[in-house]
Amino acid sequence: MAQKLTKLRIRPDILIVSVLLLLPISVATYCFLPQYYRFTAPGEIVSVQEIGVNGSVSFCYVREGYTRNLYERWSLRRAMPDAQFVPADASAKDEFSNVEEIGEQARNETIRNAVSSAGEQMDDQVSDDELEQRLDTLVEETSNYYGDSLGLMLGIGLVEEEQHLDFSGNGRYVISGTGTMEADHTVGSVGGIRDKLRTAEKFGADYFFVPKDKEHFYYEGLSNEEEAELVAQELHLSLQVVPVETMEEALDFLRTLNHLDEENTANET
Amino acid sequence: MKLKSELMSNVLSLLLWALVVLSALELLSTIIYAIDIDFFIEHAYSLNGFVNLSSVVLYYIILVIYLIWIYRIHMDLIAVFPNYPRSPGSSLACMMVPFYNFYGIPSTYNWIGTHYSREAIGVEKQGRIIRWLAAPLIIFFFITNVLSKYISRIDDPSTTVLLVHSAFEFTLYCIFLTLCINVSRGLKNIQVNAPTAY
Repeated sequence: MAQKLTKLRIRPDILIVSVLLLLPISVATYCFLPQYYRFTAPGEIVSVQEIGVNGSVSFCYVREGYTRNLYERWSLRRAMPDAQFVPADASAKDEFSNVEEIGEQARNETIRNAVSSAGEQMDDQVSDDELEQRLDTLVEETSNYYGDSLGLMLGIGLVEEEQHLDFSGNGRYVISGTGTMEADHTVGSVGGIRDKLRTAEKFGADYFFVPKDKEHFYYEGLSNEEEAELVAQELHLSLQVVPVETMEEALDFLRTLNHLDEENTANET
Repeated sequence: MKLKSELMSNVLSLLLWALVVLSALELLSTIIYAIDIDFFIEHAYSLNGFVNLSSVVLYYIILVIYLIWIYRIHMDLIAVFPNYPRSPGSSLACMMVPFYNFYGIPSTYNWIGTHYSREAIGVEKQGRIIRWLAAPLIIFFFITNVLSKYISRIDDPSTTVLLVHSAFEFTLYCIFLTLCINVSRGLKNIQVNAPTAY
């Protein structure tokens, strides 16, 4: 009996190794336990030329999504050091899928409004077929993005294309912005203003359009206009925030800017 | 004579075996990443993350065990070869002092290999293997470190760099394991042959 017990004794090296191996396995297991976080991070400003529009302005996108565990959060932070995380629960996955789905519909809607709004700026009436064709091309070109915040800048870009304008003053200004394009040419509120402003500043934007929605912001919290003012002060941004209520207001601002610029050049000469 | 390093040798070899297996899995997932990134994200991303995290923690555990092992190995070497030129303390310095360890690490194994080959009986084969691996060890150690630092600094390392890094890391751990097995086996053989050899 005593001999049998001796034989059954575990070798000390095996025991030590088992205990030591528990440590990496425990750490890895802990990092893969479900712990959901939502995140937002600055993205990039994208020239409308990249979606096939012959304009000089840019729209701005931000990155958002969710992470399922600490490892994913850690990996994401390595890839996007500016990402900001908020604790969430398992429903974040479904919520995000819904946001993506709704975002696609909203994007298509804002593109339709931008195309028709830009068309209405033209002296010659554009046919329905031409509008539909342009719409299809733009929907395809913007398939990598979801959400409707590119509407305003797309509308401005299309006006530049149709009227052979260059609001950037031959690359002198970097003009970006955010806001939906509604059917009545008004600019609607969007999300992620803070990250969009950080992105625009990072990519050297001089002017940044935001929806002028202080008077008619129906959601909780600060309106886009108020948030943009606050962020610009807080982060001491060098770009100029330009709140606009309609696409025409944005176009007027850009025309004035270019007009002033031309006058200054003429005076210098 | 009971070897002071026996327990640590067994512990270190088992842990190194685990690290070799993990680095093989990492290499495999890097190959999958290189072949089909979508398949990798769908099926191998989480596994790769788990393996990656486990191997990082295991690496640091092994680092500590390795230093204890090399200290104890040198205690045994001095007991077996009274004229052995390196003390346990200086062997630790050879491993740990930055820049000096580029000389220190291979020279440590070169000394062990030379003593096994020339001053002991029945361990010539182990001595030859240890001496033969001393130079590749430092080359792989250096390149793996440089690649690790490069990968951690850039945003999007190329697939080739990731593949080369994984392959070098796997080879480095295999070399360490082979060295650990041969150094400890050599000491055991010397201990067995001790009554006739000395």
